[in-house]
Amino acid sequence: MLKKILFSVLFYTLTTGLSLASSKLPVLSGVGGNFTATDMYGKTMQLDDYKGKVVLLGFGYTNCPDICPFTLGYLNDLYTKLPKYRQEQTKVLFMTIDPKHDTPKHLREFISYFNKDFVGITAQTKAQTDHIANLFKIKYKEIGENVPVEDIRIVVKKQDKKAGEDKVRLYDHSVTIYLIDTDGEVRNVSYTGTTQEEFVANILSLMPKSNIKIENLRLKKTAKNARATAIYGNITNMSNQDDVLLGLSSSIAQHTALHETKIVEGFARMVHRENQILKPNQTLMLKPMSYHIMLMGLNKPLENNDVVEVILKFKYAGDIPIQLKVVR
Amino acid sequence: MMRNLLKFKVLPAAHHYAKAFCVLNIRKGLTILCCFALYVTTAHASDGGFKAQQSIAEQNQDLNGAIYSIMRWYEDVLKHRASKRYYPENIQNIQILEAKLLTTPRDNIALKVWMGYLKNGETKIQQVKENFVFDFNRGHRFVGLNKLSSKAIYSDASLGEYDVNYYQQRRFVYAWLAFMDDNANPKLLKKAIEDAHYQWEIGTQKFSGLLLQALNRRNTLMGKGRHFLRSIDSEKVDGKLQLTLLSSWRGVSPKNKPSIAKIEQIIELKETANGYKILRIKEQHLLPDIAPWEKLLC
Repeated sequence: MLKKILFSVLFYTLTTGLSLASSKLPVLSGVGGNFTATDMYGKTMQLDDYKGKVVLLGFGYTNCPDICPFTLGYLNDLYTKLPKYRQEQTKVLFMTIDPKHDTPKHLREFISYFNKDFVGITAQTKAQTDHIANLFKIKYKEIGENVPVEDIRIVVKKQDKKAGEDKVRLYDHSVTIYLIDTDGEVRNVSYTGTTQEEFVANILSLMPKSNIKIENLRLKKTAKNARATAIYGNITNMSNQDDVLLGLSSSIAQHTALHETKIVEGFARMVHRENQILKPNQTLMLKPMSYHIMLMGLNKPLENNDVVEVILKFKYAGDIPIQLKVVR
Repeated sequence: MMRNLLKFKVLPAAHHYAKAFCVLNIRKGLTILCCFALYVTTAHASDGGFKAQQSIAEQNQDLNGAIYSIMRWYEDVLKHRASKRYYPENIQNIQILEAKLLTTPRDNIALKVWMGYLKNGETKIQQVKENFVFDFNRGHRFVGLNKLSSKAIYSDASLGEYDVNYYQQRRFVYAWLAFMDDNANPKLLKKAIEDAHYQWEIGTQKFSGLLLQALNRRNTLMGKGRHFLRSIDSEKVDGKLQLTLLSSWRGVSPKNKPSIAKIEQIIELKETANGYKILRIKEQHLLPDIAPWEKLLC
């Protein structure tokens, strides 16, 4: 129950669109850094390719009988707790410490079992693996070889098996999950014992701030049998740079549009706006006979006190999901 | 037109699979954690004086210079170059038992020490409590010393390791830490850093060169912060003194982010008439001890 309340509070914070505090997580000086490896699609990648996203990096191997599946299940669990637009700002990487066995193809099959957004990576050689392990201060060592495959619990059987791979190696390895910020700097190390609430909060604390303030945004109750309504309220750009309101999406309407009502030759005319630039500290006041967001082709009439979920889309602040109440 | 509502993915079966190993993992983890906690407790209990020095260093982020003065004072006492009327004669060893930064009176550091001294061929112990008075507004200048109490103690404790070398090494180390923090008090190190070679490795960055050049590059990379000494190991290697320092560092990165480090420095020293001369320093950054499970292996 407590977990549910905590997540509700967290989700509410996201949906209000208010600024998130900048992270208090310290940079771990001398831990991590850019490296080159091969991803599970066989392409050369660098950690720096993911600059701009928050990266969760874990180390393990596909034959791991316990902690690796557990860690990936844990990561999937917390990843799915992030709103979709925050998932897009996050990348989960899993690096194998057994590059000889874990081919890109096999890594892809293994990782996809847990989450199709996750990316498996491998170094070409043990020396490269050691270099990356040394950067992140992780430890690993082989504790057994020639272990028959049937003696261990395998999540996904290797399809591109070579001769002799009926017997595999087992390893001891660090179980840490590195939290890397949008500049590529390690900001925390966690493991599956870290509560998911804490981990999610840490991830969000590293994401770009949402500087859009939303006040009193509401939907107008529809007239009987009407299939269109409008959104009113205030949207303020709290940042020190321009942002652009690109639009809004909602599952309850077939079309949405930003309109401005203008009086032309004594008649009120609705003018369609492709987008609306918001200067720093500028408030866009959505109100009758002025700017407003139209929802057209509603699935059903809206009743008083109904709650509708919509997503405001901004050029820089990104997608901001918000729950709106229907009022008279 | 955009129409997709936010969707949460349904957990795959992997989560349930993973949970099956949870109990085994936690039991193993707890055993290792208990051992680790015992190790930490034991390691720290073995040097109460050092722990006390650490604790005062953390109360104020700018105390390495002040602690340097304390170390220098006790070194001078052990070299019989300084004394107080309430001190016994023939002091051979001094162990710091407690150290506390006081808010009243301000700029005071209160110390409780045991002084081992020779009297009639026997080793005796005097417990001294005294306040070191500093002027923190003027570069932590050591102003004076106030007696709180001094009394004989009957104990068979051996204070052997807390000798002149102990304080001479710490005087040097705190001067070095203060120098790294501010680069502002080179006189504390006198000529100890001339021609010294400094090699560091911080993540993907490496540097090797003359000390001042290396330190400047390091500060540019790390940003501004303070060092806190965690441990000192000393040994003679090929006739030279080698100190291995472990320190933690807290500061702000060049991108204005809070930053921490766990730093290991191996310092090779040549002993001189006035103290030490640094020959070379080798530094690497370790995974900070931000969680006890970092040594947990699967």
